[in-house]
Amino acid sequence: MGELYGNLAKGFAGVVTPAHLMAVFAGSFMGTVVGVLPGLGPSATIAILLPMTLTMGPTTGLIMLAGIFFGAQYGGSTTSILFRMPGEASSVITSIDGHEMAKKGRAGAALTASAIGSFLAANMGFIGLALFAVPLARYALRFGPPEYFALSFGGLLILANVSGGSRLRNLAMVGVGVMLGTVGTDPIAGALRLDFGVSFLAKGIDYTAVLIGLFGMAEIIAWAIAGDGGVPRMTAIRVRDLYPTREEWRRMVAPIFRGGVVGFLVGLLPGPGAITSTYVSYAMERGVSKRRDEFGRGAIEGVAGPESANNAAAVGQMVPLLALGLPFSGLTAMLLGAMMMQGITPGPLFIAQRPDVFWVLVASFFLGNLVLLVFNLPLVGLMAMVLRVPMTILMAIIALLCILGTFSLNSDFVDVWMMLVFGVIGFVMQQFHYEPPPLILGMVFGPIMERALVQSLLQFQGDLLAFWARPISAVILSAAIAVAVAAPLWAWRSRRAGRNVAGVVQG
Amino acid sequence: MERSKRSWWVTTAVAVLAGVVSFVPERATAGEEKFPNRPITVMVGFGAGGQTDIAVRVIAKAAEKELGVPILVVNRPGGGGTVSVTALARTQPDGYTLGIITAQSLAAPFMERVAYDPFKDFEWVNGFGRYIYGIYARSDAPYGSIKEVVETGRKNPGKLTFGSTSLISALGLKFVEAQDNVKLTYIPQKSGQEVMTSLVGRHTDFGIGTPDAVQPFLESKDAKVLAVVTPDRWEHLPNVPTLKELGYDIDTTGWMILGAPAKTPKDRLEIINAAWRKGHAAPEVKDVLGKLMLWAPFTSGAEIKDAYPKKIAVWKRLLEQPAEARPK
Amino acid sequence: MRGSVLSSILLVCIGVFYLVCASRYDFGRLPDPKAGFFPTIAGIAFVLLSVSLLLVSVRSRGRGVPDAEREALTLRRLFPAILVLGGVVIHILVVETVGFLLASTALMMFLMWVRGARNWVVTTVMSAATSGVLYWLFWVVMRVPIPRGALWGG
Repeated sequence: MGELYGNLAKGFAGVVTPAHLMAVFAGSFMGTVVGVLPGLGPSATIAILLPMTLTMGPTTGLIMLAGIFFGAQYGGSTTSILFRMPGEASSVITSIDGHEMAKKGRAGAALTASAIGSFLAANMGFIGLALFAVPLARYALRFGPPEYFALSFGGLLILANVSGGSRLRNLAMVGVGVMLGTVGTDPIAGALRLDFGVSFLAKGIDYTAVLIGLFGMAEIIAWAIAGDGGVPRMTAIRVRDLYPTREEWRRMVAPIFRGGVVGFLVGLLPGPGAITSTYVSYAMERGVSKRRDEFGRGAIEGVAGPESANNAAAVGQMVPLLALGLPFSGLTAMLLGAMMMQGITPGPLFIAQRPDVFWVLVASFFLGNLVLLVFNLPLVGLMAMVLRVPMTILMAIIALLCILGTFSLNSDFVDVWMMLVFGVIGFVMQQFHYEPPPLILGMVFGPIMERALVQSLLQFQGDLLAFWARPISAVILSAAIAVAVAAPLWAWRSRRAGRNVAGVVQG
Repeated sequence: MERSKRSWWVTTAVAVLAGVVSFVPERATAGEEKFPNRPITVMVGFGAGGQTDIAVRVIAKAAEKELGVPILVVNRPGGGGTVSVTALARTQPDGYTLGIITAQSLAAPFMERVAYDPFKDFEWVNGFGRYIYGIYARSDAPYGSIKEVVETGRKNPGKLTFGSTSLISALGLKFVEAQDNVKLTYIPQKSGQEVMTSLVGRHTDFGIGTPDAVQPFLESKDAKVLAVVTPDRWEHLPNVPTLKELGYDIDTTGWMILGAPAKTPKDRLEIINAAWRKGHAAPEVKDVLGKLMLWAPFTSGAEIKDAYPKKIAVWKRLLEQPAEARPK
Repeated sequence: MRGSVLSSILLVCIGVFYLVCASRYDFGRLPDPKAGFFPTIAGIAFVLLSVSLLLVSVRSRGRGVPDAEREALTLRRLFPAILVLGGVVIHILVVETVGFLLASTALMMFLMWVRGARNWVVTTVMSAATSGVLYWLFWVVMRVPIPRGALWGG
């Protein structure tokens, strides 16, 4: 422990140089902007800034990029809560209860819960990183294709129902998402699939474009039709509406803590850690809460948990990168590239060989996190007041944001057209009571599941029993199947029991 | 009713205006003299952060100064580079859009239906880097050389697995399979890091990748290099033999090729080439490329184009074989 | 629920269509799956799911709670949405030519007009300001490429 303090102290000492401090602020600022704006994600920004980090010192550039990486997880909930328009997939879950809270006038409370939870959970993650980086990373290595398949398949089964509604419909939406995810190049041979000979489908369908369409554009269409009867407008914001009540503070604590732990662990594993962690946290909070029926109607646990989880997951993603030099996601791969450009090669010996870089980085994480909190808390007041802007102006601004944000994903107009199409689809789905979150889940996990399945089959020469021969995948698969089968059976039984007892069929 | 009638008028007016406006610049820019006078786009067929992507970004940044306009690097990942290349074949040959042509996209036509002809649909401007591969195993693996791998493989057909990011880089071991009549299992993987993760995590037995991917694991003694698939031994690993020395006459070294759609005016290509070469030669770029462990000689597109058909013939023969090993 | 039968029939059709497309790709074998492997399995699972949905919705037809506040979606009511979509479509088509600033200002003004804004001064100022701020944020701060407009050689 003493060693830890010593290292951290050295790290903090190293971080308080003018160059590094500027990098922390710049990175955090840009990260917050990136997070709030829909579509525009850290990957586009970091990719563009990569060559510029060359001219900064080795650690300075990294600090800035890390600031963007973490900052982006803070702001994402803003549009999600205020307008039910998640700007990226990791904010989809927050929109469920977050927007309900906004409708009840508790937007400020939701935003604050999000910011505080993000801050606390990230710190939890940093502590995990500082203490257990190497052993955790080594454990994460034990997850191979069969485990990823078990996780993604199990995840789809269990998490499909997370946003409520009919189980069958949700599963159907997951199916649609999975099918959409197969469009483009197949993960094995790279052959073109389901592209119907059209070049714009060859690169696949970007799920962020789909989600901006399903949530953002669909809402705009709904508003255009509903006239002013759409979303309730806030006329007066009282100061106490900006912050959570004592009761709400109390309710936040456990979900933040659970979200931090779950998020960190999920982030350790390969795959879209931030997104997955939000779904898992929400499912968990709904599972353990005594206020289960409030979920979907503005339960603050449904905001605090997922928002904490996605920040902790971002930290978790850093662990394999820094401890072993193995990036498990596209974003961390870019950070790896930035390091290599500077001649720093992260690998299993990185922490031991370059403590000057590692501990300064970790110190910058803590500092940046604090800066982010300081940026984001006042934003809460600002953002909550955004709700007072007349719909006429607001809708136009949001429409423009959707277009620009989607374009900035890949500098490709194809994505914008996709967003439009899915805007119409999203509106139709709304009319027929089909929920969007499971669709996004399917699109995100489908390709992962396919790749993992195919790699496992190749590796074991088609032996399906191999999934049960390995401890981790066996446990996960069995648990997932058990839950997936048990839950509807339970619901069916209680429905029958309810009918017998009540005697009168309702509806 | 009056309001919706007005709406229709407005909509029609705007649509007509838009149509007119879209046509105007076609004529306005037809007579433009100076090239380039707006940003140039370079499409990279891999995800951001990879070796190719970073190399392109740093060279582009240095070349910007020569050209006087920004160079926007855009990622179009998919299919080992084929998606990006397909898109490139379809863009306007005005010199404002370029792309990276990779070995995988050159070989793709033998394996499945693609929408381009790698030789006819593109101008190859230059080659500015080379993909070099090595065959890696865990340091505690029971085989110390390719010979031992073949022996073990013969006793357990199909059990030994190897991963790589493209069929081209996998050709090294596929050649061994074919020549020595041994069956290994190839697992396609998404990135160089996934190859190493899988190897170190004990999910595959071998990995084929670029030198930068294995370097940290060499230092931490987690991995070792069994052989290299290049014409010569690697400078920093003088004890590791090349596949050629071991009797397998295969070379999977590919070029990073800067390409443009066919029929792009030659003078514009010359301007781009000159700027790219200057950017490539800039000291800070050389420094970064060295740190990425990227072997980066510079050559003209014409030279590579001439040499490729022969190389590809070997690949074609190997790739068109069925999965079962067949002696040469 | 309203329209359940209709929507589930649609889903079944989508599933069948998908399966037909997927069957055109090589399925491979269990130890050697190919491009068609996963899509075919996913397609079959989806068709089964949507058929179940169809059966359930047919069974509970007329039994659900009716949607009280839903008015009929006539073309007249949909018209503002069509305008909005049309505006966005034109914006996408035009933006590379006239540049982001001009196209976006125009689009915002149009959208606000659709929603009933009649104060031209406020509309223009807000639209231009928003476009300017977004341009600044995305291009200047984030260095994300934005179409500048071929008319001005941007």
